[in-house]
Amino acid sequence: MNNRLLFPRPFKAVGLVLVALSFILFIAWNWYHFEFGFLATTGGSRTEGLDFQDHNLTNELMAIAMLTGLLFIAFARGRTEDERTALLRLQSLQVSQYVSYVLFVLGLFLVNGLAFISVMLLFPYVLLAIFILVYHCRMYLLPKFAAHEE
Amino acid sequence: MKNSLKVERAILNLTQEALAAQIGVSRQTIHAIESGKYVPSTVLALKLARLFGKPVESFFALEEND
Repeated sequence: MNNRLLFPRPFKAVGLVLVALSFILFIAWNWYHFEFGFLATTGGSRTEGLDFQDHNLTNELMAIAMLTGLLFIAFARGRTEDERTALLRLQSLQVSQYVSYVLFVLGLFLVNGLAFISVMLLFPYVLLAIFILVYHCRMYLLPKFAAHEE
Repeated sequence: MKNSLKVERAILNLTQEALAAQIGVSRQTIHAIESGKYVPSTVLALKLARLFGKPVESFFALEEND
């Protein structure tokens, strides 16, 4: 089965690099308040109406890099793509949707106020991360436990 | 659905890897079919039938609960 909606195989490595870099950038931005000078913005109309103003696009760059990286890891072509891997992808996507929405509903009850924005912002990352975890476990980890008959 | 893929493969003296390469799937897919964990599509079943030179029904059969 030729799944044309998948990225080329090397994109997985690119995705891993992007996720690693954006994670390092997140640590630097969150704990050490690091920001790229060239990403500074002038004026503040972009976030008018909210309680804060964002004058630097470092966090946006970080978010886009993380999302792109996760997407590349999740949907890059594997060594062999056939109808069983397509089914595994579909089932893993279904499981990740269920788990993510359960976590989101828990967030509705457990997180209140402005902090809830964080729950909403995290949703796409959680969805992709769970998909990657479930798919790779089913694809690579579980078969190792099965007997390798010839 | 039960199958005798392993037997047919043994008749042709093919490894899972060799059979997988001939019909364009992974070795894990052949293993999953043989162990009854995965039911192949019609296309894949027909590819196997062509390779074995036998009708699909001779190595795939429905079980009572199918």
